[in-house]
Amino acid sequence: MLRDGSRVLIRQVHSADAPLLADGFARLSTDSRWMRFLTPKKELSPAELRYFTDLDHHDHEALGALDNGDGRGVGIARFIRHADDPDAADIAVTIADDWQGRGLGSELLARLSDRAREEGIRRFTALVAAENVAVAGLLRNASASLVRRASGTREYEIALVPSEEQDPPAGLELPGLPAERR
Amino acid sequence: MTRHDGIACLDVLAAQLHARGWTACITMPAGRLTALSVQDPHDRAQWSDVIAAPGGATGDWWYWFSWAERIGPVHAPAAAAEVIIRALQRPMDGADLAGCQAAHGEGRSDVLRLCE
Repeated sequence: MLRDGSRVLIRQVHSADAPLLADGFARLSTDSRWMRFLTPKKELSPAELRYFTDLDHHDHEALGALDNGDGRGVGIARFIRHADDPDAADIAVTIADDWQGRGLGSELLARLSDRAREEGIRRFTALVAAENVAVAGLLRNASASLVRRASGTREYEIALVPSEEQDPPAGLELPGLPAERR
Repeated sequence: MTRHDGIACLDVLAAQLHARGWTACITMPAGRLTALSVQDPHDRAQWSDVIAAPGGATGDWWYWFSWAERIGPVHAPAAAAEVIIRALQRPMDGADLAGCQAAHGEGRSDVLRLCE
């Protein structure tokens, strides 16, 4: 459930999702497409749809969010491991225009981070259009640091803390929460 | 490197793609990033874009798919061209698959590998 009460189903993307992805892309505004693809983009080609959905779920993973009401795609987050640095992966997050500002991007990024940790990835990198304030805010909220500012682009990096380091030390109780519920 | 150097890098990549039979041309939309639009020779209806931009703490320049995935460093344009072609080649459709099966013998266990 998102912070406005709306519900989505978040799951891994599979090759059968190409039509869902094409539909989601077609509903993006021109600005959202440009922010995501850094260049003007009218449609996704069959090759691109295959590339974005035929995943190995190890070096290339994507999580999609579906509207609980009508089943349409409303958001997607993906990582693609660097070919020359297996500890790092490029990420991108896209949210349908009418679903932006509800916390869906943060939810997808958190779950994508969990998946990445499971696959041994230690840091995310993100190349973002300089004008993309929404994703810049999302990344800052995820403790990303700005590593490079170039003409038209910004690059951010997020260190992924291993899951065991995120847990409280043994014997430390979270206030008001019985241990068995954690 | 400057924006003009980035364009020069895209030009070098375009030459590598041309040598492999692909179409590639530089596009410079007003106020937006300069990109290399690339086209599979077997799919003239579709274009995808590649940009050149600095990446990482070192600031080395990289080729990137426009969906913000790094392809490779600009000092290795031939390798980048191979990555682009692998990613963007038109998927084999049913007609191609049928033709391939007819050519190589339907039902043989190695046909699928040949068609891939």
